[in-house]
Amino acid sequence: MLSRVAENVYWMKRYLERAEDTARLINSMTSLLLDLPVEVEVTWYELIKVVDAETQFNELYPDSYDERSVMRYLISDTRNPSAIKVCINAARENARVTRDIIPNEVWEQANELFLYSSGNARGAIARRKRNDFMSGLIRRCQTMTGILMGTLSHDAAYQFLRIGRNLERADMSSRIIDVAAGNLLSDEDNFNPAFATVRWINVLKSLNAFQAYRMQGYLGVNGADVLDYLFNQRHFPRSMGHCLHEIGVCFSELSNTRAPRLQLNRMIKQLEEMNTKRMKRTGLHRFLDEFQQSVGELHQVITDTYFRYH
Amino acid sequence: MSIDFKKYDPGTGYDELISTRGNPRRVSHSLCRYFSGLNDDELAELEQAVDLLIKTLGISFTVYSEGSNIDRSWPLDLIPRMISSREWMQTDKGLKQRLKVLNMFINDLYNDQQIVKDGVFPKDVLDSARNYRKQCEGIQPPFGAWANICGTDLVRDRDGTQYVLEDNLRVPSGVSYMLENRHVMKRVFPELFQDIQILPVNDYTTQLFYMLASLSPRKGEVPEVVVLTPGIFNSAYFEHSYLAQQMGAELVQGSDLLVDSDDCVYMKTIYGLKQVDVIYRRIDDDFLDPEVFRKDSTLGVQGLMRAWRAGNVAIANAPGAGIADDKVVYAFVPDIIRYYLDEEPIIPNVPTYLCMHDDERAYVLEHLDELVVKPANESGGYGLLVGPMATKKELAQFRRLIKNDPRNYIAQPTLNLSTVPTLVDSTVAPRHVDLRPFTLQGKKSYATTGGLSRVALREGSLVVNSSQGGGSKDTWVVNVGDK
Repeated sequence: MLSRVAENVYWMKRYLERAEDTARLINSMTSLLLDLPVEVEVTWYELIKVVDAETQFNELYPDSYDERSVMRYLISDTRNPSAIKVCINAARENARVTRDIIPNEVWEQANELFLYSSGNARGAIARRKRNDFMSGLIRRCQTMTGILMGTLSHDAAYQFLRIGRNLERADMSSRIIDVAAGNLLSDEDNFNPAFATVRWINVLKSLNAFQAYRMQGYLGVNGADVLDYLFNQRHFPRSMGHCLHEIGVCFSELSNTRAPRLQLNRMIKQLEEMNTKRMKRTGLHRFLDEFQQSVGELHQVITDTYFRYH
Repeated sequence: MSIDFKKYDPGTGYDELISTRGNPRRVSHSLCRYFSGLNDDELAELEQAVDLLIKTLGISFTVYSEGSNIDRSWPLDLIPRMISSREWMQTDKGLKQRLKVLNMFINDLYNDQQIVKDGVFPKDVLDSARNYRKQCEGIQPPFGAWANICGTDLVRDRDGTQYVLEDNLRVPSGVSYMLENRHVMKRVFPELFQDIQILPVNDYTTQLFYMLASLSPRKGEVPEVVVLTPGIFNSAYFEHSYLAQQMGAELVQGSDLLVDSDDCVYMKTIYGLKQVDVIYRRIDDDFLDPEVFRKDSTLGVQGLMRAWRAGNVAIANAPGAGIADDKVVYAFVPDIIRYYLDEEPIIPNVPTYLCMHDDERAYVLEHLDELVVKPANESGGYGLLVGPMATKKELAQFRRLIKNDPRNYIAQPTLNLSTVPTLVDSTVAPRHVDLRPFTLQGKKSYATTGGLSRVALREGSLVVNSSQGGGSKDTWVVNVGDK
C-alpha cells in the first residue's frame, strides 16, 4: 500500500469521526441546557473550550459567547478547520484521492454526506432545525462507516482507517470529558445534587454511554464511576481505553509496529493507573491534557513509521 | 409537451436516429417508440434521475479556467446515440487497422526510418515535428507497440460517410465517461436494456489491464501495474482514479515513485520500496522525467527514462508516441497505411490541406471562411478556427498565424457533422455529435464497442468538447438481426 494513500485513508476517517463527534457534542449540550435552571452559568462557550479553539474563536467573534456565534463557528464557519462542514469536506477530499482503493459505494456516500452538509449546515445554526441536522449527519457518517467496514477488504487500508477513527475518537472523548466533567468537579458542592446527577448523566450521554453504563450495573451515577467507565471500559466503543485497545488490535495486523506499540502501551498504562476516586478538577484537566498530548505523539510515531517513506 | 418525433426535423444533414421526418432508422425504432410514449412528468422524472445519479456517483469533470471550482457534474443526455452492430464490425476493423499501422510507423521513425528513406513521409515534416523525441531513438517496446491506448475521433458528414477526424495517441481521455454513461443508463432505463439488444462495454478495464500486464518486462510474475496521474487538479483525475480502481492497480503520483541506482522503478509503500513493472502514465511526455524532458517538472519521476531505456519498466503509451498525434502526420495516414500494409484505409480521413505546401496554403488562405483550421499539436478543441462562424478579426488573426508558421496548421472542409435527437427544453432537437472509440494494442488488439459520443449542446454548434460546453450521450451498438 502506498504511504501517501495510507495517510489519506487515515485522515479521511479522522475527519469523519471528528464531524460525527462534534455533532454528538452539540446535540448533548443543547439537551443539557434545556434541563438546567436558568441561573446556572453554563455557557455555549464551553464547547469552544472542548475543541481547544478559544484563541481563534475570540479573534473571529470578539466578546461573543452567545449560542449563535458558537454554533456558526462549530458548524459552518469555513475559517474553523474543525467545523463540521469543513471536516466533511476534508473527509471527501481525502476520499477523492483514494478513490482507487475505496469501494464505489463509499464514494457515493461521501458525496451524499457532502451535499447534505453543504446544503443544510447553515440552516442548522438556529435551534429549531439543529437536532434534525445533527441526527441526519450522524446517521450519514455511520452509514459511511458501515459501508467502509462492510465492503473494504480487511487489508492494510482497513487498519489505517480504524486507527484513524479510534485515535480521533480517543482524543474527542477526552476533550468532552474534560469540559463536561471538569466543571462538575469544581462546582459539585455548590450544586443541587439533582443537577449534579443530571450533569453526570449528560457527560455519559454526550458520549452515547448512558444506556451502556446503566447496563454495567453501577449503583448510581457519580463522578468516580462515570470517569472510570469512560476511561477504561473496554467494551464500550467510545471509552478512551477501548479506542486504545482497538488501535493495538490494528497494529497486530501490520508490520513494523515496535515504535508505535511502545507509545501505545505507555498510554494504556497511564490510563489504567489513573485513580478516579480522588480526582480533583485540576488533576483531571492535567491528566486529560497529557492524554491529548500522548495522542498527538502516537499520531506522530504512526506518521513517521508508515506515512513517511524511510 | 411530450416528445413527438413527427415534429423532429433532421434537417439537411445526416441524423443518426431519424432518417426523414417521422421515420426512425431501423436501429432506433424501439427507442423512439419508448420516448414518444412518455408524458412530461415521466420525462422530467427520468431527467432528474439521471442528474441525481451523476451527482451521487460523483461523475465530474474539471474545467481549467474555473479556478478553484474543480467539480462540474458530467452532462449526459437522456437519448442515446445508436449504431448497428453490422456497421460497427467494419468500424472495429478500421480502428485496429489504423492503430496497427500507426505503431509500425512510430517504430520505424525511431529506428530505421525506412518510410522516410522511401520518400513516402517527408523528412522536413519529421525534422520539424514537435513531438518527436530524440531520446527515444533505438528503442523497441514490447510488440513494437508505442501507442498502446488510442482515442480516435470519428465523425460523419452529411452523406453519412464516416471519417477519422483525429488520432489521439498521447494521453487520450474519456473512456471512464463512456463506462459511467452506460452505468447510469442501465440504472435509469432497465426496461430498454431488456427490449433492445445493446452490446456491453464494460469489459474495457479488464482488456486494458490485460494489455498493460502483457507489457511487463518481468515475465512469469504477476506484474505490478500502476496508473501515474498528475494529481487531483488534472481535468481527467476522475478518470485516472476510476481506471485504477477498476483494474485494481495503484494510482500513483510522481512523488510516490523513485528510480533507484539499479535503474528500476519503485513505489513508496507503508513497508518500504516495491518494484513497479508497468506504468500507465497519464502525464505528457514533457513532464515525465525532469532528467530528460522539462527540468521544472514536479509531476514526473527523476530517472524514469533511464529505467525505460534499460528495459526495466514498460510505459504506456511509450514516450515519443505523440509523434503520430501531429495533425500534419494525420494527413499522411492513408499513405502510411498503403505503405506498410498494402491495404486501403477502412475508415477514410477527412480531406486535409497542409499549410506547409504552397499551393494548399494559398487555397486555405483564400477559402478561410469555409474551412476549419487546426494547430498541429493541440488537443481539447483549443486554438481552433471554425471559418463559417468566425468573426473578421479571428479570420485575420488566423491568416497571420498560418503565414508565420505554416508547418503548424492544417485545414479541413467544415463538415456538417451528423446529428442525434437531444433533449432540449423537454422536447427533442437535432444536435451535432462525434464519437470517440478507444483502441488498445499490446499483445493483441481490442476496440471498445461504440465509444464516447460527445454532443454540442448549443444549436448549430460543432464544438463537442466538454471543456467548451459540450455534453455526452451513451452509445448503443445494437444487434438488429441480419437483414
